[in-house]
Amino acid sequence: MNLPTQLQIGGKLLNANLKQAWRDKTDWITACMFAITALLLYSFAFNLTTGLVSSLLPGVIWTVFLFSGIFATGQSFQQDRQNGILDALKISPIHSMTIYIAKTLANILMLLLIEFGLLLGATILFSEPLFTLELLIIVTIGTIGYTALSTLLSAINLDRNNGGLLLPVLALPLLVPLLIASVEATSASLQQEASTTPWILLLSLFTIWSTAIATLMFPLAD
Amino acid sequence: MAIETNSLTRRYDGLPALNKVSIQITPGSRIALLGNNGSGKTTLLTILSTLLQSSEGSAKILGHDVSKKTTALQNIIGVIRHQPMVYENFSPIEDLELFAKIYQVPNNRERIERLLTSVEIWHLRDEMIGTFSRGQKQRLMIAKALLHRPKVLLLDEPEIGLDQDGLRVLDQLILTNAAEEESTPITVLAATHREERVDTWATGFVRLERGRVIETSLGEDAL
Repeated sequence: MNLPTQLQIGGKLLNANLKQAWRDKTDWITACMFAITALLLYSFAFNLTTGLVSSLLPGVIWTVFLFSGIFATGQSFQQDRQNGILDALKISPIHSMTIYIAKTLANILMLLLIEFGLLLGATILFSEPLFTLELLIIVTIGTIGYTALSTLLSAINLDRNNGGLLLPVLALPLLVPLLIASVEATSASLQQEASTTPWILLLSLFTIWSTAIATLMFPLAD
Repeated sequence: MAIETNSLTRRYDGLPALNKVSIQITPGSRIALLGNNGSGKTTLLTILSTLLQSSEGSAKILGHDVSKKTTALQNIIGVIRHQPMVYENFSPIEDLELFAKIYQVPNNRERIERLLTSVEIWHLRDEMIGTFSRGQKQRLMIAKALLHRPKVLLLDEPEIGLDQDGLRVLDQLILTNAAEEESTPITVLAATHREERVDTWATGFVRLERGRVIETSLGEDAL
C-alpha cells in the first residue's frame, strides 16, 4: 500500500480514535479531574503575594501535565485489545506505524485540549500570563514528545499482568530529559529576561528523538 | 494449495502448543478443525492469520508466506476470532465503513448494506455495537470477515453465541459460500466443537490432539 493511501487510511483511523475517545470518556475525564484538582490544590498551597510563584509554576505545570497525560494515554491500546480491534487492524493491510501514529495523534490532540484549558485556568488562579504563544508552542512540543513515548509504552504494557503500573515505572526515567527541557523552556519563557531559544531547541531535539524511536519501535512492541 | 503448512511448530515457554503440523488444503475446500480444548486449533489459526509467529516450520496461504505479513496476503484472508473484533462504541455502519476504507472496498456502501442485510442485522445498523448480544456481534463479525471478499476464511469457533437462525446465516454465507457472488469459491478452515454440525458444511477435517495432527480427511467427498 503506497504512502498517500496509508495517509488517507491514517486520517480515517485518527478520526475513529477521536470518535472512540469522545464517546468513551473514562480516561479523559479521569485526567481532567486529576489536573483540575492538582491545580486547585497548588493554588491554595502557594502564597500568591510573595512573588515566588512564577519560579515554581514550570514545575507545577509539567507535573500536572505529565501525570494527567499518563492517566489519559496509559490505557490507549487497552480498549482496542479488549474489543479485538487491535487484532482486526493488525490483520488488515494497514501498516503498524500508521496504527501507532493515528493513536498518538489522537492522544496528542485530546491532551492539548486539556492542557490549553489548564493553562487558561492557571492564568486565572496564579495571576500569571500563562496563555502566551510562546508557552503554547513549548507545551505543544513537550506534549508531542511525551505522548509519543507514553503511547508506545501503553502498547508494550498490553499483555502484562500488572495493569497500568508498568507504564509510569518505564515512562518516568525515559521522560526525564524531555521534562527537564520542558520545565527549563517554560521557566525561561516566564522569566522574560532569559532566552527560551536554546531550551526550545533542546526540547524539539528530544521530541524528534522520542517520536522517531517510538514510531520505529511500535511494530516490535507486541 | 490454498493453505499449506510444513512442520509448523509453536512453543510457549519451551512447551509445544503446535507440534510439526503439516497440512495441505486445496482451494475451495471447507475444512473443519477439530480437537479438544488446548489441542492447538486457535494457535494454528492465529499463526495463519499473521497474528503470531511460528517457532519452526512454515505456512503459506495461496503461495504467500504468512510470516511475511504482506498486504497481498492480508487482502485475501478473512478472520473470525473468539472475541468480536469491533469498536464497541461504534454502530455497525461506522465500524464496517472504517474497515471498508482500510481494505479499499469498492462501492462500500452497497457492500455494507448487502452484508448487513444478509446477516439480518440491517435494522440495527445505527445502534451502538456495545449494546448487542453475543449472537448479534457474531453476525456482525460474519459480515466483517466477508467485507473485502477474501479468498480464504480462517474461523475460530464461528458458531459461538449464534441461535438457530444465526447458524443458518453462518451456513449460508460462509460455510457453504452460498451467498458469495464470486465464481471461485472461498476456502474455509474453521475450528469447531460442534462436531454434529460438521457434515452439513465441511468437505473434510483435520483433528488435532496436544498440538499434533492425529487424523485428517481432506478429500472432496470425505464426509
